[in-house]
Amino acid sequence: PGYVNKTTALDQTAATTSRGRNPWNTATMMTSQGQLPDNDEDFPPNPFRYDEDDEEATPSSQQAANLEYESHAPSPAAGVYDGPPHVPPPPPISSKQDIDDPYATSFEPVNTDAVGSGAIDPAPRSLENTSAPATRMEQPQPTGFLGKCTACLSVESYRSYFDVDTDDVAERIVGSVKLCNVPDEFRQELLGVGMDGDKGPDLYGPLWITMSLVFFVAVTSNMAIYMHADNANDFEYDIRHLIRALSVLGFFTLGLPAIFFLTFRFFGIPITLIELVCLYGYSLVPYLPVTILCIIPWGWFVWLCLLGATGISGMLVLRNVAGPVLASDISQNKAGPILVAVLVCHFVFFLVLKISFYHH
Amino acid sequence: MADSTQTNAPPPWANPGGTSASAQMNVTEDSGVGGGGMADDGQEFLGAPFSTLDEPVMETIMRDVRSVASKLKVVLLPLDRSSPFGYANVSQEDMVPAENQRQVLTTLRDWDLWGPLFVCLALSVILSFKAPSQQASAVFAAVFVAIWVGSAVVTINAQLLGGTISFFQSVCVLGYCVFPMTVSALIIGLLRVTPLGVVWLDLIWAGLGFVWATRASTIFIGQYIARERRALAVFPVFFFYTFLGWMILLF
Repeated sequence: PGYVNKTTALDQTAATTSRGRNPWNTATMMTSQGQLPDNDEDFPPNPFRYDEDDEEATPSSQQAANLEYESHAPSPAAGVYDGPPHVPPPPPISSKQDIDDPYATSFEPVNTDAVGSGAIDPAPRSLENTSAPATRMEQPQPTGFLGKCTACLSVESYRSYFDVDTDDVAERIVGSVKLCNVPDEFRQELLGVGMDGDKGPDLYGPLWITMSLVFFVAVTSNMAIYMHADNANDFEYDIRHLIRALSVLGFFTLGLPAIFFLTFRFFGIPITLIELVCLYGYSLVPYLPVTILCIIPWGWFVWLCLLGATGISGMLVLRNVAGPVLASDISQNKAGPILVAVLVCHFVFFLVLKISFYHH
Repeated sequence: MADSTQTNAPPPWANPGGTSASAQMNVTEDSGVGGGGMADDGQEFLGAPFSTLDEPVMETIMRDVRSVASKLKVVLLPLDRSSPFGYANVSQEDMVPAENQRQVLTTLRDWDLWGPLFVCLALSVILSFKAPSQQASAVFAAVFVAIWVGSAVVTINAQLLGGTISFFQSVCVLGYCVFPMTVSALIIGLLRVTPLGVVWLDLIWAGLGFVWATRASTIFIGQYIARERRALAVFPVFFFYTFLGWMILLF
């Protein structure tokens, strides 16, 4: 009997659909006893339904708001229109998640930092989120051995080193030449080492200054060969200069600071690797205009130009490394050779540049 | 048969999840159904057949070929008259792309990597043909690696500067934008045997290719970065295309 009734109910709903009436009229879905089917026990209590007589579901403030709503309902006046009916604002949505309620929705904003980079058309992120210095401390530290090993491969772990604006990078580039002779000035004023408020050393500058210099050296060394060639038709471009420039400059910006970092660590001098990489990266700035000058085919001129650039670059590195070295606990007869070693490495770099790229 | 009366109606057994009754209703709205391919995005998603196993192989291949071709064509669109070179709104607070640029960006939104691969191989082959013979393989390898690694580096740089950019979509856009430079490399190579193959004319072709290439990619990269850092993200794009232009001019 119940089964037969259900089919008749469905036929009725089909009939009402064609006539345009509400097909979900519950009056058509009657059981054989003629009562509404009561399925209330199958579900947890409805969080969106405020029952006046249900003390647990609604806090008292919402009950008060409900009563307020009913008291403000306008009585139908005869023919007088006071304007639209006054509807009080709805009760505020609580943003705290009810632990016991499986159907509650939390309206806390989603942390989009944790979501992968799959967005197609997002708005540009506001800078307040990224430039606070506290974000450096709040980087989620990788846990576990595997986590720490693979942390160096994720983009997130390097994001704090690219936290610079155009003006910052421009300031640092200019300062690497202007402040090369002032002890510790570049490190402290610009890189913000030891200061809480400023941005720290960045990796954007070293990366792109090195890449630009690789490009400049590859272009200008071949142009210099072209200038020196006796016959323009004999000139053949040598692509190996590009690969050689990449390896030499890559070692200078990454490998040499790593070696010095390990040495300083061994002696207990507190300089971080990022500082050293940043320092060596920005010290390549004087070489950028000088390599263009090296196209001019005068031997002594090229030597002088490169020597000048090496001088500025070496002074920058020396002045900024000497501070921590001399301030640390090592004895005087160890600090001297370390600083001399820094200068000698710079001079060797100068010789390598001159002989492998601009020697004819 | 029902198929002979309607042009684009699918056979009833190819209809996604419908009974024969609903297939009768869907036949009247058959704009995108069964045609596959080049309906616009919304229609295509709703109207494409659920299973593409039954279509001819040519149809499957041509759908991808048409998609790649449409994107290549869109990258070669002429410049917008209003903004000089199309870069003018890069330094503004909220970048509103111009009409042409918006069309380019929306077409490149459904990314694929076949196009960049085709463009990259074409450029590498053209340049290695023109290179001196003992350096041919080194040149091919250098250009190929430079395009893929360069796109990856530019994208990761933009991501590190705080932009929420999709990695593969960015690699796709940068790869498609190399196509104007491939065209200019081809023109330079073909003109070299003619009296028109002089150095300053080569510079003009390469310059044109460079401007076309950087037009869409700088707008694309720039729109995801905050204005204070936009130059930091756009400079690597210029650097990447300058490097490719230099490789084109060499050989």
